[in-house]
Formats: sequence, C-alpha cells, structure tokens
Amino acid sequence: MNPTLNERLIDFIHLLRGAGIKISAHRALPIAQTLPLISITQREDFYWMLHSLLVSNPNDHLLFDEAFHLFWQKRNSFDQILSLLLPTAQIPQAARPISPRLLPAFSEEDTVKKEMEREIEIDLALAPSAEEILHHTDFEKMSPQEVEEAKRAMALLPYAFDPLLHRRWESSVRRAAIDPRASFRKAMREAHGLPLCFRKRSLKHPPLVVLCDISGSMSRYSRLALHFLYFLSRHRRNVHTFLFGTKLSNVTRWLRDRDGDIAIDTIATKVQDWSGGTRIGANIQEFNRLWARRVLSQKATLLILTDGLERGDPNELKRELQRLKRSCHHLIWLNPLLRYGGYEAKAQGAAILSHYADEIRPVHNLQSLEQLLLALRKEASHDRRYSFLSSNLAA
Amino acid sequence: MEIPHSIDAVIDLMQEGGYIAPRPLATSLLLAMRLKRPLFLEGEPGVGKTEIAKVLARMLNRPLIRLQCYEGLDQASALYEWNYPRQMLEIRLAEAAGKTDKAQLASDIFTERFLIKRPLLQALQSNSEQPPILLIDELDRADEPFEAFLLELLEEYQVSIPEFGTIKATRPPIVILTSNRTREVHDALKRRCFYHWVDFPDRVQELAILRMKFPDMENALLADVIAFVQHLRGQDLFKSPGIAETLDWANALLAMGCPDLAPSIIEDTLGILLKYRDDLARFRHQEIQTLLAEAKAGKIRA
Repeated sequence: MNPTLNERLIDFIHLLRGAGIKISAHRALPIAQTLPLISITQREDFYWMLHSLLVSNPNDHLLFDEAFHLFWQKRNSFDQILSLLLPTAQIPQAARPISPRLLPAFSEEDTVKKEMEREIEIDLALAPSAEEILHHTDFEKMSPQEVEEAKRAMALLPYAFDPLLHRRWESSVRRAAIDPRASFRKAMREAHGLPLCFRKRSLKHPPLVVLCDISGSMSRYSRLALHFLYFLSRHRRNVHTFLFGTKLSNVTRWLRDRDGDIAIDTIATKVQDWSGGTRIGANIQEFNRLWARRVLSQKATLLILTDGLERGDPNELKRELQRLKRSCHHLIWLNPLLRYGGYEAKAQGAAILSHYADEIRPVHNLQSLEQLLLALRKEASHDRRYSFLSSNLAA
Repeated sequence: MEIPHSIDAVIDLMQEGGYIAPRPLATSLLLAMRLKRPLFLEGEPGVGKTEIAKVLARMLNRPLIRLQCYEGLDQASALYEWNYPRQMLEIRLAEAAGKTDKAQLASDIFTERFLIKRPLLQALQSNSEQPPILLIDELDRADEPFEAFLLELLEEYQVSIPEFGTIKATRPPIVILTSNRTREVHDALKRRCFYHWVDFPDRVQELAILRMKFPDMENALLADVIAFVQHLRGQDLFKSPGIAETLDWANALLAMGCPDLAPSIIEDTLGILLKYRDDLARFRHQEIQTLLAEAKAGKIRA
C-alpha cells in the first residue's frame, strides 16, 4: 500500500479517536485488504469503505461524516493521493465550519488531566448519637463538612439486592433439576453408576432505571443524589441513570468510573443544563421515544427523582407518564418535598405524578435513602417468590 | 455461484433477486464477503435486514442457515446437543444384549450419530458445494453470555466439543448478524464485524422498490402511497413504518382494488402501517386528510 496513504489513514484514525469514536487497533487492520476491492477514485466508495470498518454506532455517523470531509480536504491530502495515482486531480469541496468536538482533536497539544485534591478529615470521636443525627439531617440543611460525612455514610448504606430468576441454567450443588449433559460427562470419568449433576435457574438483576431532575429547583439535592446513584451503580448491575433539566442525558457510563468524585466531576462538565428550567413531560417523551425500549426490558423498576414542579404542558406530562407506566414494571416517585410534613401534591405536575406513580417516597435525608433501598430489596424478593413458583411448574 | 468482485456487481445481483441495495450497503456487503468477515446490520424493525441475507442466499445459490436469537439462548440450542434419550436407550440395549465393554460403549455413545447439530454447527460443518450463509437474527434479544460465546466462533470459525474435539470450518460461512438495537451489542463483538446501519429508504429508493414488487400498480396510486408513507415517517411517531409495512399496505390497497388514495381508505387501513395504539390514536379523519394533502403537495413524479 502506498506509504503516504498509509500515514494519512493512520492520522485519520487518530483524529476519529480524538473526537471520541472508539476504534481499536484490530479494527483498522483490514484496510489494506479492502483497498484493492474498491475504486479509490470514487470518493463515495472510499467513504463507505472506511465507514463500515471504523463506525459501529449510529451515533458516531455524523461525527465521522464531518471528520471525513474535513480531513480528506483540509490538507488537500486526498488530492495528493489522487495526483500520485492519476494524472488529473479532483476539485476539493468547499470548506465547512469545524464542529467544536473536532477542534481539540485537530490541535497539536495533548489535554492535560486534572489532578484531584481532596481533604480527608478523619474524626475518630464520632459518637453514635452524632451518626444518628447525621442520618436524619435534611440534605438541604447540611454544612459542607456534614455533606462530606454524608457522602461517606452513603457508601455504607445497605445496597445488597436480590436478583431475579432467569431462563438460563447454571450448575448447582444442591439437588434441583437434573443436568443430563453434566451427568453423562461425569459418568464418563467415573467407573461405576450414573452420578447425578444438578442445575438451577440462574439469577439476574432486573433493570433499575433512574431519571434524575437536575433543574434549578432540585439543585441542592442533585450533587448528593448523584453520589447516591454512583454507589448504586457500583453495587448493582443493570442500573441506567439519566439526568434531565432542559434536555435528557444518559450518564450511565460515566457513573461507572472507579472514583466517585471523578465520575461526578466528569458529569458536571459534560452535562450542560444544570439549574435550568424543568420540562418533565418533554424529557419523559424523549426518554420514551429513544431509551424506553432499550433499557426497560423485563421487570424494570423506574425511579424518578423530581419535585414535580413542571413548566411545560401538563397534558403532555400525563400522556408520557401513561406510556412510561406501561413500559416499566414499577414506577417510584422520589420527592424531596415530602420532607415537609403537611405536603400535598397541589402543583399540576405533582398531582399527575402522584396519580401515575406506584409509590411516592421521600428522599431528603440518609434515612429515607436507606428505606428506599430496603423497599427495593423487598420488592425484588416478593417477585422472586412468585416467579420461582411458576418456574417450578414449568420445569 | 461466485462472490461478486465489485460494488456494482453486488448491486446488480441484489436487484436481480428483488432487493434494491443502496451503494453504501453494497460496499459493506462486498467487503464482508470478500474479506470473510461478518457483517453486522443494525436498524429499526422492518427496514429489510433479514431480507438481505435471504436474497443473497438465493442469488448466490447457497443454503441459508438461520439462527433466531432470544433471551436465554445458550449453547445447547444454538450449537449442539447430545441426544440423551437415544444415548440412554443405547446403553439399555447394550446392557440387555450383554455387552460389557464399557470403554467401547463410552466411545460409541459420543459419536456423530447421537449429536444433534444446531444452526451454528450446521453452518461450520456444511456439506454443500459452497459455504453457506449464516444469518444470526435479532442478536440484541440474546443476552451477554451468548455474545461472549459468539466472539470466539466469529473470530476463528471453530468450536470445541469436549467429547469430540475441535471442529474447524474448512470453508468459513458468510455471516450476517442483525439487530434491532433494543440494547447495545457489546463492542468486542462489533469490532470483529463490518458495520452497516440500515436506514428507512428515501423516496427514490422506495419508489424503485414498489415499482419492482408491484409492476401492475398505477403510477398515480404509487406516487400517492410513497408520498404518504414518507411524510408519515417525518411525524414524531413512536414507531415509524418500515419498508415491510409499506409493501404490506400496497398489497392491501391492490387487493382492495382502490383506484386512488382517499382519506377514508387510509383510515381503514392505517393499522397496517402503524402498530402502536398511541400512534394510531393521533391520526383521526381530520389529521389524515391534512397529512394526505401535505404529502400530495410535495410528492415526486412516479
């Protein structure tokens, strides 16, 4: 393969990586073999050849498109290639403005990673009564020091979740259903008799989806709520987290970072609409349209964390909640305003939410979070009892 | 039949089989076939992903082996299973006949006679003249352990059966995977494949497809049908109608003998295009009339 073309292709792949498209080294290997199959003078064929190799997610398509048109025109590299291969060169396309996501990838200097400095205060004399007080303190009323302590206490909440029975089989020690294949294979190894091996249905965590409101009215809770969601994601598989204010963002992947603070800081920079206005209905509509069918598979529990103060159209909210309710198994509304003893859902958005939610729970202090976790666990084990019965009949 | 050598040849081949393949799709198909790598097709339900594999198999004159994925699909249902009842019978018969050579019996039991070959193994061990086309349909319905198992298969085209040994495909099949994107398939699997997103057809394509399938349809009706469906897709629907739905609808209209498209006919047959109650509820008589008028205003010439 032409060495100049080789270098150009490698540069192009680096550009795409810099812009955020994940391309492993393995991916790009067949390029050399693909070039003889297509006619390189056909720009479209070259484009689609690279596309089918390097792009594996429809979300990356637009970025690839822009990168391709800029790269193979910016340094006139495509024309250089053509001039090497053919006597006449093609006319390059008109310049387009560069999207901001590609700009850092074009720049020469590397981005420097931020270093985190944290102060760790160790208070050895934490008396039991002080802990109890912390558990009951409202998040809104906490001092910065108490906030840090609350984050540490959150790590110690009871996160154990019971999984549900699943269709797959896995080997089991206790006497459940007989596994014919394993029994035969064991018999081959042993001299006498037919030893029995057993199998049982495997267990899986059903999906838990969290829609968290990060608009202005919820801003005091948002940071701590994110910490809670971070711990939840660490302790349980199949948790999907979405933040919404003026628009909906999927932050599941960022919450899977090892370090909680790095995860939250990444989210703080990437999600742009903190403390904006709330349009609950519009965001739920987007969730229904784009994400509901993908993340709300069997027996999903949906937590929606919002105060119910809706700025948009209440009819839209009603419609979208109806659809949402039908897509998920259990809908829980986590309302921080429940900290007021005499709270009644009078605002339109709140009234609609309270009508459609299966459960309404407070979420203003550590104790309420603990109770939420216990409730989630109990609900899961309740289902397990029934699904065990039905699988017993079927097996 | 031999694998085509150029993109144009692929387009012509698919067209002969009754499938209008746009150039990007034909590029991916050619690369996948020539470089013997799997092709991963993703797209909304009803855009014709499965049809690609079927047409390809028919036109290249190769057997099509289809594995339909579902949640809980495991090795036993996808790759192979031993015929336990038959093996037990064999043991009982041997006992009854008085044969006591256990080692001989053990080696007899685990032979090909007692092996039930499921689609993946059939694809690897195909006896046909040409390597078959393996269609793994709706991979997103299967779970992650199954994907992990597929990884090795797609990389090496070999499987190991403990009682048997390793079975390697002498001629690797052409593998096409499809997904409706109800969940994200793992990157590790995607990176072994060529990827193509199959989108809804545009006006020109859809017109060509309908013309090919329904040569007897009148031009005016054809133009109206295409315009309406294309306009409908632009509405914010829960599930947009795919090309399969358009074909069903055109078929229904022909069967009903409609001379042209009137709002009342659309109202009666809208259930063929839209499959969700929310979407259907949005389009009552008035909306349908408006939609049809808008569609006709912007239609292309048939």
